[in-house]
Amino acid sequence: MIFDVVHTTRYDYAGTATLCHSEARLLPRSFESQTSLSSRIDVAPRPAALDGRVDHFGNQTTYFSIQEPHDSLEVTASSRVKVLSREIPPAAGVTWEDARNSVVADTTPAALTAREFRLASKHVPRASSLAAFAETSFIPGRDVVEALLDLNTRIHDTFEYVPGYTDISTPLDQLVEDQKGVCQDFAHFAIGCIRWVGLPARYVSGYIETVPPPGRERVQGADASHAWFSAYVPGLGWVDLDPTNDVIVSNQHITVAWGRDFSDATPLKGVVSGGGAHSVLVSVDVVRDDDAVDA
Amino acid sequence: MAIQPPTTEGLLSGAYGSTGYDEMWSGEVRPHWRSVIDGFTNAGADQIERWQQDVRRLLRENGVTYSILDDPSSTHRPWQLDTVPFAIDAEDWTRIEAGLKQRAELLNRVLLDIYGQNRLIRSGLLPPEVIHAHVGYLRPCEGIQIHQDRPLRFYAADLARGPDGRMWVLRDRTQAPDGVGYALENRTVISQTMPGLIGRAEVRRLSGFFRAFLAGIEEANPTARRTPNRVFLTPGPFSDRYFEHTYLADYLGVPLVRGDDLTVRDGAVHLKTVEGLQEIDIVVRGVDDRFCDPLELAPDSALGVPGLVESIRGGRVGVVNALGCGVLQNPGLSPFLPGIARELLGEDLLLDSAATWWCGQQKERDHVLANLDRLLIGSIDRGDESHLIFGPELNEDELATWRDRISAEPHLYVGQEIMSFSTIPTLSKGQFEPRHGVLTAFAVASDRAYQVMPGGLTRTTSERKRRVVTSRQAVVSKDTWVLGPEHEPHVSLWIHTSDTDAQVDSSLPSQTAENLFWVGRYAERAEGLARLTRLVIRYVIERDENEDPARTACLHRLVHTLATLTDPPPDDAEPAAPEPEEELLDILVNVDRPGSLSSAIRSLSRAAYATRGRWSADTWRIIEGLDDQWPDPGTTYLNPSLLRNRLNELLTGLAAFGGLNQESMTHEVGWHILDIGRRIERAQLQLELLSSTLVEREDRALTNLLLESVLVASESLMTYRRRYRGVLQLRTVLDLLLFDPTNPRSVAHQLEELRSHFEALPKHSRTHHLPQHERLIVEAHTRLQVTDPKSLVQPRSRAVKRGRLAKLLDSTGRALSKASDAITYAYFSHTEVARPLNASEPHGPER
Repeated sequence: MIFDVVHTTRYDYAGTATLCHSEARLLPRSFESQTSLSSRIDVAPRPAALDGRVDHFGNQTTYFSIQEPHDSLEVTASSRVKVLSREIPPAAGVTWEDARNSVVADTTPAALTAREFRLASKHVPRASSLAAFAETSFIPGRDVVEALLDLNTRIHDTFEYVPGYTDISTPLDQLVEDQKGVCQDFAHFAIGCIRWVGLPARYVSGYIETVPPPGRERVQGADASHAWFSAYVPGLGWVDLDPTNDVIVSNQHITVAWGRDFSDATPLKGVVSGGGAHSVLVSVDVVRDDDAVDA
Repeated sequence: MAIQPPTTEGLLSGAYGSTGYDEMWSGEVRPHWRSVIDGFTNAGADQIERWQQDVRRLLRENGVTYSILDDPSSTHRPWQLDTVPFAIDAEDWTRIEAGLKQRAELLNRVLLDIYGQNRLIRSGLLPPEVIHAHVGYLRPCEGIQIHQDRPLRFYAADLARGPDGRMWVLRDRTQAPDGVGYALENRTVISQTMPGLIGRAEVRRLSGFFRAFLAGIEEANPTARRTPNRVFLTPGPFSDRYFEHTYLADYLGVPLVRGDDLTVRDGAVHLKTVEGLQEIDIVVRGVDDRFCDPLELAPDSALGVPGLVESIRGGRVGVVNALGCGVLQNPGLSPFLPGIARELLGEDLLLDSAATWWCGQQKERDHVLANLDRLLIGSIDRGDESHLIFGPELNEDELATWRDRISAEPHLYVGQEIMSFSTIPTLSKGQFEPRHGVLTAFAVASDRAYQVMPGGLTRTTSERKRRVVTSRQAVVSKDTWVLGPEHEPHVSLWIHTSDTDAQVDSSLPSQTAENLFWVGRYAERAEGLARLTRLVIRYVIERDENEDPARTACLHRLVHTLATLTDPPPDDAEPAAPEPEEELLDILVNVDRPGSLSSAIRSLSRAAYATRGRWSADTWRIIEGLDDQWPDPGTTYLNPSLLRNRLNELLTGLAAFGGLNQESMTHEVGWHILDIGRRIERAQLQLELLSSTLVEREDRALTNLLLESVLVASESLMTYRRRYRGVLQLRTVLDLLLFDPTNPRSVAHQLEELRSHFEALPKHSRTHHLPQHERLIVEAHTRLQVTDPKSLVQPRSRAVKRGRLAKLLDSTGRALSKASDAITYAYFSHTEVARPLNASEPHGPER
C-alpha cells in the first residue's frame, strides 16, 4: 500500500517572534514493514539553518532555526510511504511471564535494545494505579499475545475517546480516574500496563488512513496525527497495536517515529523568543495511491 | 614567672588514642606530620589563635561563602577553614595520584563508549539499565563529543582512608569542577596566614595544576580562533554554587553568564552584550548538563541555551565538561568498573571503591534487601552525598518503604557498605581533635593526559561525634598539604597562561548591565528614602502636646510624600489614614511593600550579588553591611532615636558605596550604566518630592516648613542659606533644586550627567538620529533650560495648584520613565525570555 501524506503545522503569534529553534520528527522512518519512498520538510519563513540526523531511537530528526522577526511559523512535511501488511499469530506459544524472563536474560542486540523500553519514562512513570487494569489482562500463565490483544481491546472498551479532554501534561492517574482521553493517552496507558508486568513497550507516532462515512466526500486536511503502542515479544519482535481503534496495526498505519513515550517522538517542538501567546493549527492529509504499482 | 615551653602533649586533646585510624597519630606522631605539629607547638596558643583570626578575617574580606543544601534560610554562610592542614606524605600521594589518573582515564573511556560504540553494553560488561535508567544519560548527546579526546575534562573524586590505611573512592564527581575554587582559595588564605610554616613543611605547589586547568579549557575549543572567547555558565545567584562560580569566572578572567545571556544564531553560541552579539567558542559550565538545552534536553529548564546541543554537534562550540558526563556520577557503575578496567585498560583498579551492590541484579538485590539496616542506600541518579540514606538510622516503617521502593524499580538503587574512615586533626578550643574527614581530589585533562592537583579540598565534620561528612550540615574545610620535593617554580596562582586578548573578556553581558543599572537605581532610592525618613523622624521626635498645627500638617504631608513614593499595601482594609508613625514604620521595614526602604535595600543587595564579580573587596563589605544593619522585617515598634541612628549609619554606608563606585570602578560601560541608573532615580525622586510638597498652594507657615524640609531632604539647606541668606522663597528654592546645573542634587544636573553618559554608550546604528533615550533627555533638558523660574511661581494666581510647575515636573518625570524604558530596550532587551512552543499533540482519529 502506498500513501501520500501531507502534515502541516501552523503557529500564529500574537506578537513578533525574534528567534525560534525547533526540532521535528515528521519524516517517516523506514524499517521492515515500511519504506519511506520520499519525504521533505518545508518551513516558512525560511530557516537560517536546517539539519537532519538520526536520533537514538533511529528516528529521522530535523533541526531548524528561524532568526528573522516573524508572526507565524508553518512547517509542512510531505512524504510518500510504502506500507507492508503485518500479521501476528493469535498466540505466541509462550506465557507473558516466560517472555518477561527471557527478555532480561537475552543478550542479543534486539533484546538489549528492547530492555530500554521496560523502564519508566517521563510520561509513563511507574504507577501502581495501573496494576489492577494490567493484571486483569496479564493473568498468570496466559499467552503473551493473547494478553496484549486483550489489553488492547479492554482499553478501547473502557475508555471514551474525547478529543480535547486531556493534554500532554495530564497524568496517567487522571486518565485512570476519568476514563476519557485521546490516542496518546491510550498508548501511554497501555505502555504503562505492559511495563508494569515487566515487558518492553514503546510509543509510536504516525498516521492512520481514514475512510469517510458512506456517501460523503473526503474532506481535505481532516485527518490527524495518530499514536499507538508496540510491545516486544521474544521470538516475534515488536507487535504494534492500536487501542484507539482496537486493531492490530497492519497496512493502514503509517509509522513516523517511536520512542519511550510522546516526548521521544514529538512531531514538532521548539523554543521561541518573543511572540507572546500563540495558537496552533494542524492539518493532515493521508491519501492512498491506488494507481501506484504495489511491488 | 618562668614561661612554660609549649609541648606537643598540650596541643593534643584527650580524644587521641581511643579512636580508629588517625592521620596524624599512631601512638606517636606520624613522621610526615612532624613539621606541622612542631610548627603549631612552637607557635603557642596565642599565635594559633591569631592565625585562626587572620584566616577568618581574610575569608570574610574575600567574601567567601557557601550554601548548605536543602536549607533555604541560609543563602550564604561564611566559609569555615581550619588552620590545621591535612598532611599527606609523598609516597602515599604517588599511589593516590596514579589511582586517580587511572580512574579518570577509565571513566572517560566509559563515557566515550556509552555515547559512541556502545561496546560495553553489547558485550555484557555493563547492564544497559545502569546507563539507560540514569537521568544523566542524555540520548541527544550520542556522538557529539568526538572532537574531544577527553570530554571528561574535569574529574573529581571524594576519597577517604579505610581502617587498613588505604584510600577508598566514595564517589565520583563528573559534572563540573565543584570545589576546585574553594581549594584554591584555601591555599591562598593559608599561604598568606602561615607563610613560614607552609614554607618549612615543603608543601607541593598548586600552580602546575592550575596551568593545566587553564590550558585544558582552551583545548576544548573546536574552532580555529587562536584566542578563544570563553564564558562561565552559572545557574545564577540562587544556586548553592554561585560563590564558587563567581570565584572561578574571576580566576579564569571570563564573563560569568546565565543561560539567557547566551543565544544560538547561525549555528554558533553568542553572548548578548551591551556592545552587541559576541561569538563564544568555549562554555565552561556550572549548570548540570541535562539543563543546558531546553530544546533537546530537559524542556522545563530555564537555565540553558536553546540550540546548544546542535551548536556542539556542528562543531561550533566546546562545552566543558562535555554534555553527557553526568551519567558517570553513578554509584551503579562501581561494581562493574573492575571488569571494565581489565577490558579497556588491561589493568586492575589502583583505587577501590566501597563495596557496592547494584540492585538491578537478582543476587545483589537480595543481599541489599536482606541487609538494608546495615547499608548505605542510594539512588544511581543521585551521586550527591545528601541523598544517601543510612540504613542503621531507619526505623521499621522506613525500612519497609525502602524495601518496596527497591523492589518496584530495583535498577534505580544501590546498597553500599558503611565503612569507618580515618580521622584528621582539627583545631577545637586551641587543641587538636580527631575528626572524620573526606578529601575531594581533582584531575584535569590537558595535553592528552590527566593531571592531578597535588592537594585538594578536605572537609571534616564540625562535631567530633559525627562520622560522615555531608554538605547537608556545616563542615570545616582544610588546606591539603601534599609533602615532598618540589618541581614547580614558585609562581603566583593568579598568572594566566594564555594571552587573554579575547574580545569577549572585556565586554559587558546585557544581563550584568541590567543588574548594574538596578544597583544604581536601588542605591539611590535607598539613599533618598533614608534621607527623607530621617527628616520625618526629626519631626516625630520634636513633636509635643501643644504642637504647632503647621508642623503637624508638614509631618502629614511628608509622610504622605513617602507613601506616594512607595506603593501602599494592596490589602489595606482600613480606609482611614493610619497614624504617621505606623505608616512610617511600614515604609521603613515592610519588605513586601514595593518601594519601601527595606525592599530597596534587599533589591540592591540582590542586584549586587548577581554581579558579584564586579565589586572590589571593600565595596562588597559595604554591600554586605547594608543588609546586616537594617532592622528585621519583623520590627513592630518604632524607637525614633534608635531608628535615626540606624538611618545615619545606613546613609554613611550608602555614601561609601557611592564613593567607591565613583573611585574604584573603571569608568567603562558598566560604570556608565550604573550611574545612569543612579541619575534617573535621583531625578525622579527629586521631581516627586517637589511635586507632592510644592505644587499645592499653602499658607505661609506651612509653605516655609515645606520649603525647608525639601532643602534638608535634598542636602541643599547649607548651600541655600549661604547663597540666599536665609530668605525662604519658592522661586529661589526651585532655582537651586530644579535649574542649577552646579548643584549635584538638582534635576538639571542629573539631566546633564545623563547626556554625557549616553555619549559614552556603544552606538547600535550609524544614523545621525539620536537614539530614543538620548532624544527624550535632550528634550527634557532643553525644556528645563528655556523655562523661566519666575513663571512657575505664578504669584498672582488664585488657583489651588501651581499648574505650570506641576506640568513641568510631570513632563520631566515622564521623559525620565520613558528614557529608562528606552535604555532597557536598547541595551538589555536581549534578555528576552525564551519559552517552549506548544507541542502539536496527536489526537488520533477514532474510526
